[in-house]
Amino acid sequence: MKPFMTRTLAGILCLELLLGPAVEPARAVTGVIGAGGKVASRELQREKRTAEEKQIDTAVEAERYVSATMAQNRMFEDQCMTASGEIDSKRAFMLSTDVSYADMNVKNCAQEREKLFHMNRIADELVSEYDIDPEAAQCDNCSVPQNLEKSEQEFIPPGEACSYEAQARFKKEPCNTYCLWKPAISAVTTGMGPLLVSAFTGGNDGCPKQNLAKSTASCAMNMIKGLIKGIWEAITGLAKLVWEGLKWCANKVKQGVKWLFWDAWVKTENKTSTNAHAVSQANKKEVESYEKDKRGWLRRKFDMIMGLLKELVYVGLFERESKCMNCAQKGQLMCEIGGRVASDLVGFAFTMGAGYAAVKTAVTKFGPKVADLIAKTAKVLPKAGARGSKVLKTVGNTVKKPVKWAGKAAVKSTKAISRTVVKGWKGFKSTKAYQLIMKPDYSRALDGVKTLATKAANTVPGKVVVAPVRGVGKLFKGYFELDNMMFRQGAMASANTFRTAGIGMSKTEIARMYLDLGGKSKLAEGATRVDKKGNQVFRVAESEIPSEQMAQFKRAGVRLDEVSSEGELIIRVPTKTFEELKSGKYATRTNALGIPVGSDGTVVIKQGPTVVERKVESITAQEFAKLRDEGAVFTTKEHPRALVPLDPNGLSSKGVKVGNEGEIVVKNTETGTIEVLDASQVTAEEVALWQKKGYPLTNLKDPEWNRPVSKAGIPEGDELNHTAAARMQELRNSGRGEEATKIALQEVETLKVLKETGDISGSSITARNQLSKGGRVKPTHLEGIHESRAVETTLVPDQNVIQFETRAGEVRELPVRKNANVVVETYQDGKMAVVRDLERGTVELHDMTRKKTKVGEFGKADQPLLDEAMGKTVKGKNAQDAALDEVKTRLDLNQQNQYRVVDQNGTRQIEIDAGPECRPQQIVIGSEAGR
Amino acid sequence: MFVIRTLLFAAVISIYPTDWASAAIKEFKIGEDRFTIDVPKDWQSPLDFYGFPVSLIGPDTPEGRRTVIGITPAGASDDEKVFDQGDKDIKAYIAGREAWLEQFEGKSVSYDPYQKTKWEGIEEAHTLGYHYSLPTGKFYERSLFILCNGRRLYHVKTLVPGDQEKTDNRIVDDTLKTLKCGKAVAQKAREKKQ
Repeated sequence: MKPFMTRTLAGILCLELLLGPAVEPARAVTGVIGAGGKVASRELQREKRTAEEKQIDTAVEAERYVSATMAQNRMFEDQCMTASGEIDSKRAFMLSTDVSYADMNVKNCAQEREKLFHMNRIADELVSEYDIDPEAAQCDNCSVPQNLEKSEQEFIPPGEACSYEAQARFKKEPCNTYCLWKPAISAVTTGMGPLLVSAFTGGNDGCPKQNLAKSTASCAMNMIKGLIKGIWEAITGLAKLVWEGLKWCANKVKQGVKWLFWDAWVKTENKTSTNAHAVSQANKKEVESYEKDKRGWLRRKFDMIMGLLKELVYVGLFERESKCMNCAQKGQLMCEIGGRVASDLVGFAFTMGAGYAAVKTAVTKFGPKVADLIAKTAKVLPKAGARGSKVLKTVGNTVKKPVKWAGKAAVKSTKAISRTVVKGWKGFKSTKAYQLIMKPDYSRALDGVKTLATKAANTVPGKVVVAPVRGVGKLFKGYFELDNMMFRQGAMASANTFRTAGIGMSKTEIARMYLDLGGKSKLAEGATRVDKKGNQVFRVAESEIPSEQMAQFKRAGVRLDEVSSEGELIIRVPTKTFEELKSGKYATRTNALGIPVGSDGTVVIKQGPTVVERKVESITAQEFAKLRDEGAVFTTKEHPRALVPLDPNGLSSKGVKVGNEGEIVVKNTETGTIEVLDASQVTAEEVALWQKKGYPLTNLKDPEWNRPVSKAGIPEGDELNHTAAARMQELRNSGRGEEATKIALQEVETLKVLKETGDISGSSITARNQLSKGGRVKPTHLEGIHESRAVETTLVPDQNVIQFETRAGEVRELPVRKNANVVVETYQDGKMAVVRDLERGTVELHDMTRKKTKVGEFGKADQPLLDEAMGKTVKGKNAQDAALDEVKTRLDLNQQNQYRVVDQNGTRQIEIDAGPECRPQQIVIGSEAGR
Repeated sequence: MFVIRTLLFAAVISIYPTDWASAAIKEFKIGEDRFTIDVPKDWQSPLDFYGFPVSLIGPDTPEGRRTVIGITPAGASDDEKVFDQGDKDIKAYIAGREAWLEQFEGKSVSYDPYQKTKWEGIEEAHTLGYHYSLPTGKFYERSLFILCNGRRLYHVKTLVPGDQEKTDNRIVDDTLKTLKCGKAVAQKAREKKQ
């Protein structure tokens, strides 16, 4: 095979998910069986190892270990890295997860670094062992290495993911997944013309026979056939379709059924639409490349569609289910899925492209189609978690991994750890902190330190136990003796003091404070720093102080009497009270004091981004999964009460942050897409930076989203004013005047955001074209704007009613024509309902507060009146009067002093008294033009 | 050349050399009929691209979507006057478009009324079109069926991304009005050029 072909096709076909071991099933099984003796031998060998060594024999344990190691590294970064990014070995380190005071283990950073050095090595080994991430390097090389000694070949049976150490010895081989797919490609392209054949096959590709997996290739046939034929037909079949379609049509035409033209043409129309979209996405360069090299262009189309398939299968459908599958199994499952959707995928990719929006939509579209397969797979997977059990019997072959030894830990590979953890680990490995921790000087210095290495290997997440510190060489001995003792002394003493005083400061924080202050004496000095009046001074952000603590402060005589120019709250604690606090007189919970104390004894917590970030971090950590599962909402700083629906798809792979201006920035790490929930708050520099990085910026809201607001804080705009004013009035009438502005604003914001996000096109429920089918219809719209809660409408077949649920949860019925084709809209919290008969063109208005009482029945001639009632302009004086009455009814304006009618240049308006803090809101009724 | 024809059925669609023509005028032949069309400045006009015998593509845009005019033979004659029941045609057209949109989570925004027009060089053009949105953006798409040489129908598809409608709708309209067909168009085009 020509080199360029090899490279290109390798690129095309070396799909991430398919980069698994190209191993014939028979060989894989043989490998397992054949390896049995070795396994037993190694088991025996393992038993001979010291009892201190920890066997990590499941992916779950490995994942926990890697995750915990990363967490511990982060703590190390927090506590041991200086502002300039260097390690300060003298500083104290404490795991904030330490379980109890009695078990408290404190170390300095040198000790922690030493432990982390070994933990990181083991974590790296585990990632290497358990990573079947398609992006992992070993997938290219997971065939039987040809240059290993025989014993080593036996040691690593065919089909195994290669160990980190073994990889280093493997001979680099070209990605053999091309070989895997080649039979399918050859079979499919035969007869499709020389261009396609030459594009996808031919030449000496150098595929070794042993790399061809028959069953996988057979499975692949479906997918490849679907995709290549799909591309072929999509590109070349246009004219053919046209002719076939019209030939049929012409026959019908001759029979006198002329209008069936579109019925016949629709397939071709679809095709031309799809292809026009494909053309639309081709940039100038692509068109030029097409004209120069059609073969290469075809290959790139194939690549693009395969890329979309990969994203669809992996990101959208498959990720959660694939944790416990090896490369071969993943590949098998992928091609089965691909085979099911391939025929539809080409047109989809041509129309939608392969970007983030396309992937999201594809998941929705194709998910149900492969759901049964995924479900079947998931059902089998738990069995796969058991040691030595069969794996994925429905779609793959059993490939059992034997024990391998990695460093000090005996590692038994059965499954993979999650992609997220692998990526997290790889990301961490690229940080400066990792480089510093793993610096060679340390590894040399610590080579002889077996005790701690063993301890590190023995460490399991959640139960970190480190033996009492011993000297580990001259280099560090001084640190250990000095800092550790100092740290311990300080921490213990401080902890005792504060514990006695009932102050629940964390041990880490106390110890840090102790060290920062230089010891117990300085701590005391700092703690007793007083102002001129003898008061202890703290400065904190008020928002950081829990309300119950404020009460405690108050009881203890602590004064909260000053706010600094930076928005900090100055807390003055009378010295006597402070002593009392320490002595335990007041059981005060002082989280606000559990912050590093400056040398002047003050506690400074700045408000602003820090606080916001913490809140978001909290949301992200604690509620994000819940929010995602519920398809729930998010708020922004700018619109704190707005309910912004978030798409639940793929949120787990997104990073969320709050920008300096309070905007929520969501980054999808899979696609590189940046989604900004309030783009108007994003700086031009940020956008430029993202663009420079190549992130596609999606969902950037139009700056119009942030329209100016009135003095009352109500966004301007007729419709919104109308809504806000009406709602405020309603609230005032119901005795909730004080809350009216706030609530109305919230609702308007919600409406605005919902409209902007396209999740609501109006305050209505729509249930149309369904009556004859019956069943429950979940509306795509929300009922009213006043409560963001979807309701279901029950359509009763062959009966004269339509049922729906009101905001209050009551089921109501409305009379409709039997099997009518209607739209039901509700307004005013469900008080008003409009039933539009789409076939007859009639509209009925119902007052739902009077249950089944019909307010009026309207024909087409009355449509303007109803339109006006819904906020549209009507013409004609009578209609205006009627509309005025209607609006008054709707707004429940039964007291004359709440509104007045203004005739301004022929435009009649209702001015509503919206409260003292609001300017009058106006609702335009109509104009003279209609008279 | 053989390869190209194989791929794209170019055995049916042969391309005339246009070395005499202005860069702005593209001459081509589909089936039995010859066409000319003025290609706007900075537009590309590849042949047989994505199955369109001829397509005109607008300049690159920051949003990544370009305006497209694609021409294909409809493969039928209008001897039977397939468009003489416009109201039913549009209903079927709408039903078809709605079904197509549904595949991609799209929504229609509005439909143009059926139009029958003509211009110099095109004796009859039947047009339907609609605005719609997909998860990838908003679009305005039209289908024109033009009658050439008195009987054969050709299909012209136009697609304008929503963010380019302000500028490109007019360009598309102007460009379509330069589309001419008939045996004499090539000669006329030459004369015009001279």
